[in-house]
Amino acid sequence: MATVTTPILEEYAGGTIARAQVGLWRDGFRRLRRNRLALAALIYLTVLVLVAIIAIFWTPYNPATILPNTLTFLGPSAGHPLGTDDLGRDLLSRMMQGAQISLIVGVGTSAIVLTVGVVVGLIAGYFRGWIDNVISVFINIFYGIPGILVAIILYLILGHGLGNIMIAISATAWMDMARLVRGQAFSIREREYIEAARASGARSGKILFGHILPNSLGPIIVQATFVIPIAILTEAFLSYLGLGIPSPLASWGSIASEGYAALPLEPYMMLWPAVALSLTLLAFNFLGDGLRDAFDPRQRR
Amino acid sequence: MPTRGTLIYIAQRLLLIVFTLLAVSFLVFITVHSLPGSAFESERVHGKALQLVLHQYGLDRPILVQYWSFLTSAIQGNLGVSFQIRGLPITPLVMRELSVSAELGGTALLITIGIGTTFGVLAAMRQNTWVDYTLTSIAVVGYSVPSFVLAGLGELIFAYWLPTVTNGAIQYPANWTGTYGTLVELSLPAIILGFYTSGQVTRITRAAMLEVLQQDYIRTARAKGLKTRVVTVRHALRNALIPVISILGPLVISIITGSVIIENIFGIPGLGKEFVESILGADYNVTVAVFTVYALLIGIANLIVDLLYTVVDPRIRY
Amino acid sequence: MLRVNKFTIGGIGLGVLGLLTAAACGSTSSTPSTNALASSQVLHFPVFQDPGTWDPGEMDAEVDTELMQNVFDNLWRFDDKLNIVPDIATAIPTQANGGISADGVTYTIHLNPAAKFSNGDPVTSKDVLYSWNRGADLHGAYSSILSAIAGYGAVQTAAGNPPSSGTPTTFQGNIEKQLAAGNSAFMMSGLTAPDAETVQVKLSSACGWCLTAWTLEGTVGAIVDEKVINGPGVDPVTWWQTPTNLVGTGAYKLTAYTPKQSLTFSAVPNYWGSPKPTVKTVNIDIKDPSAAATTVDNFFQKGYDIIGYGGNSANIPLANILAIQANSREKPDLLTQPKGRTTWVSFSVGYPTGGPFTGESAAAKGLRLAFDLAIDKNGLATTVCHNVICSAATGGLITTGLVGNGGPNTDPLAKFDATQAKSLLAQYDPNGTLTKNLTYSYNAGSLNEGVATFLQNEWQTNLGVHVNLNAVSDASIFISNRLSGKYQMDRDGWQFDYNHPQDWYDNLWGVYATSAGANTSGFDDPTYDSTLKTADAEPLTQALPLYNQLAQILQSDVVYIPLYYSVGNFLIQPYVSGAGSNTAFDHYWNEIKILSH
Repeated sequence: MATVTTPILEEYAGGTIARAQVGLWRDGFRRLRRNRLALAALIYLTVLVLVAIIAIFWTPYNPATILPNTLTFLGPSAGHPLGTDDLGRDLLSRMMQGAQISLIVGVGTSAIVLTVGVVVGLIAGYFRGWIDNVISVFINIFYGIPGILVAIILYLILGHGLGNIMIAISATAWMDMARLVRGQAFSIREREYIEAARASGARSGKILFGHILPNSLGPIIVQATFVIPIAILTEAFLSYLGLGIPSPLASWGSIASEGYAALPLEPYMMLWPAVALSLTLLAFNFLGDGLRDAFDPRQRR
Repeated sequence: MPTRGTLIYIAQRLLLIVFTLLAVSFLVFITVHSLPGSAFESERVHGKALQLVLHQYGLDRPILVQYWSFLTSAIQGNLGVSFQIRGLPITPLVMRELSVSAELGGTALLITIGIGTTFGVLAAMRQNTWVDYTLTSIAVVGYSVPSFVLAGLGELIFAYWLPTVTNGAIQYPANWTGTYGTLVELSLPAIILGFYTSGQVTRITRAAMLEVLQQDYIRTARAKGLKTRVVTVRHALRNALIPVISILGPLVISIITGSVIIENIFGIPGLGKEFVESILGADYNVTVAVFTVYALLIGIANLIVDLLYTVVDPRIRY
Repeated sequence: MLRVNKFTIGGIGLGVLGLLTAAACGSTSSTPSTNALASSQVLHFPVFQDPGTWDPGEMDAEVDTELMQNVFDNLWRFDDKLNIVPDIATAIPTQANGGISADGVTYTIHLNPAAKFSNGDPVTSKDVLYSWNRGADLHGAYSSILSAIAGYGAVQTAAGNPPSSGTPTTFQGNIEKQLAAGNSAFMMSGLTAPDAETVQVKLSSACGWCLTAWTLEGTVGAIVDEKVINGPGVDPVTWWQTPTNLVGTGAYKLTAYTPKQSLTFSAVPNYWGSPKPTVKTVNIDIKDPSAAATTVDNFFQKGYDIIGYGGNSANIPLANILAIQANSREKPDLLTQPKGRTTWVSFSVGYPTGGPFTGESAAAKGLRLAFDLAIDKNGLATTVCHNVICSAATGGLITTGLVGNGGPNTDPLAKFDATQAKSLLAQYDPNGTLTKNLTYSYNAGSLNEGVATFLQNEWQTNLGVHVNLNAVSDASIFISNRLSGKYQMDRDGWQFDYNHPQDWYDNLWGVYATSAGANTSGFDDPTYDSTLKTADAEPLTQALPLYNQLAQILQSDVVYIPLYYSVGNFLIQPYVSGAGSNTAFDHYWNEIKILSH
């Protein structure tokens, strides 16, 4: 459980940290490259991102267009590799748009969680005192409340929309991040070089964002990566319930839901989003594991 | 005999639960009651008629007054009445649904621990072999593949592709007929729910087993010529289970969260289905009640797990 | 997969006589060789919605009225062709038989002395007075059915002001207290009982639709037992939740109720009416709409006898219907029947929030027409409904098969003319500024979702206008927005309650709806109101041309875009005789027999 980095960090003060950081990152990436599962996940996700980007400019058909003269509930064929849905819309195009939606929701939520969680966590961990007490009590009170329940209520209040989904999911997810960052800030704050920086009159902001944040980046990135699959899953489930992104946008969850209803006629319609969702969540989890092993050695098991 | 410290700790935790319940119920109450519309409004009930029904159910009072009356009766165990089924007392309804959810969740928890510890022990015993890799991969697959996807695949396989194999005896999603599910009805949802969380147990058990297997007393036992199986069961497993108990709290939360999804997919008449149904049907008293019960459940589950931990591992003191 | 809220339905189903036996026979695949009865007369079927209330004074949801028409009776009922026939009353009052006075305002009704409640209490004129007065006092969903009776307004005022102190302060409790005390302020002056078996109803003015409306089962016209509701220890609000309190004059009574789970009814021994019930027990599972597909599987494995009872929410999923149609073994059990429900798009005509569609200017009307003509109604029925769950609404607002329907292709708004639509748009919105950022709102649900997507496609393709879609998950929020005019275009619809055009024209755009803030598009026109008033006072034959004028007013004003008429799909086992559907798609259980199979 001993860490390689701590002794190095403690030797240097203030400005020399950056060099140690470079070493840490390079070290991490080397470890990540050796993790074949994580690497495979990274490749899959790169392809997925490319698909999502392509979908901005081009899809075989317009995913929202009800195709005239096209039969509905069509199985896979040359014209429609994945078939068509109940309204005759091309499923490949809709799946491509779904990739876009899933990634936007996943990464977007992660960004919100990152921002809110880091800021709140740093404030609590660095300033301590009553601020920390207030934040800690708040988190302790709401910690463990199922996020899905909160997301459903919030989404109803905010109304349908992509941004609102992200806000609704972030509403509980930021607390994990804040707890993590607070803990990090707590321990790093005690280090001698921070004491030194403070003694030399460095401002709080500089210490927070110049020293404490860079040194907790590893675990933060790992945590942020794990938020992505949770957000994608929650969005898919909300869409599955009919509480998801507004029509006519396609989401993997809404395609799965429509596919579920179409099961007696066209079993494949449910299979595509099922496979895509499973692979994507798997990839993010493998990547998260890989990142944790690489950049957050203390968490290794 | 619990120590003084333990008692103080329990008191603190109970206080936190009370605060949580107050805060959660207040926030949810205010939030849902601020939504426009009500379960009573329809194309034929509006204007004066709507006003009178709202008056009948006390919904025309200031929101804080409404919350106060909710709170005072909730303390006595009365969670108010439903709007959707007009005037139906909520407490017995929620209690019944809680027991259904508990049946599902309890079964899933057993499955989780069963699968997780078995996989974890096997993986640790065969560290760095294909057994290890396969089992740890299954664990990740378990918490990556969404439960509604597994449910859909279950239906696809058993009801559409292999109906002859099951001879129509097994239907997915199982048609939940009574209050409680039969073994057949319960099987798929509980397995899916349990499988989802079993990955965490596999990881923890595997790690703990690996650590324990390195300990001196295991080596001694082995050196004394005891069979590997005996060593594993009698010594290693017991110590390796301690960390499992430590994640029981998050595990229970995971299962509760997962059950919201599973119940809605399989049409199981538990709390999770009620929650979604009530909020979409503007049955806000029920929404608040279910949410509060969830908060209470999670608080208590966490407390019990923490106390259990002190029993299992005497080194821990509060 | 979400619950269907009662108000998405529009109204509720009529209490109408069960089905044409012919229809049921037509649905049999392997007609049982013998017509012998099965030894076990148990009917088992699912419904997909929880009850709202079974208090006839307040009932609003279709599922409730369909169940409760077997428990409660009105003075009359509808037969299988929607004609009025006697039930508790001995005759249909007419001027010829002296039941209606020459001026048309006084009805004299004689009660059948044999009529009995399921607990043995005889039905007297006092029960009728109590039931109807209570219905007026309660301000329930259907209280307006009694609105033509003299004194209706006065009792609504009296009952509508519950005391703020004393006991009870609750609205309903106060009504029961005042009625029990004989407070005449709570009793309609037009309702009197000359003797125990005679009721006299005096109207404030002649009414052409009243008798039809009073016959609507499962609502305020139903007769309840005062002795039970005001019995010791009975709560006036929740009395109906206890099976023993749910006492009516029908052929069945509730014997067990587990909320959100199941219902059991059993035949009333020594039922006074006819036919005597053959089915002894009716077991009903309350299912989530998401379980509909599973119940279809169950049906074909002989788990259920019928699927489709319980109104709109009992819809079989489209994919299942298509799969059944493609299966020669299953197809004969499927019965398809038009429902009395129309769906259209409402423009926010009279609300300032309607944007370019608000008002009566040539531009507003022209744009409304452009958006109407751009929709291919037949295309919608083909693409979205697969011509299975709906048909194009081309005969006007009122559904095919009902009085007031104009016949196929008579509604000028049902036309599809992309060229004219485009030229209208070019004329009234040459720069496209007016039609920018328009929104179509609908309540979430798979059919509504498909329709919305289709509409958006049509407006885009045929007008080049992008319309945003606003799906509202919570149906109560949706209805609240609609009634307060917070929309530009929204999904709208109505399901007939009774077979009379007044049901549509009064409740949607009439004076009452407008004054109650429930005018569905805010459309308020003096000619419409005065014509409606005249029509409502006339007997149906004289009133019909006037009602047709109302349809023309709405059409020339382009108040709505007609979309589709709903089609119901039922699964009925071949051995279930006497079950089926008509335009009201409901059935009396005492007409059903389970044949041996």
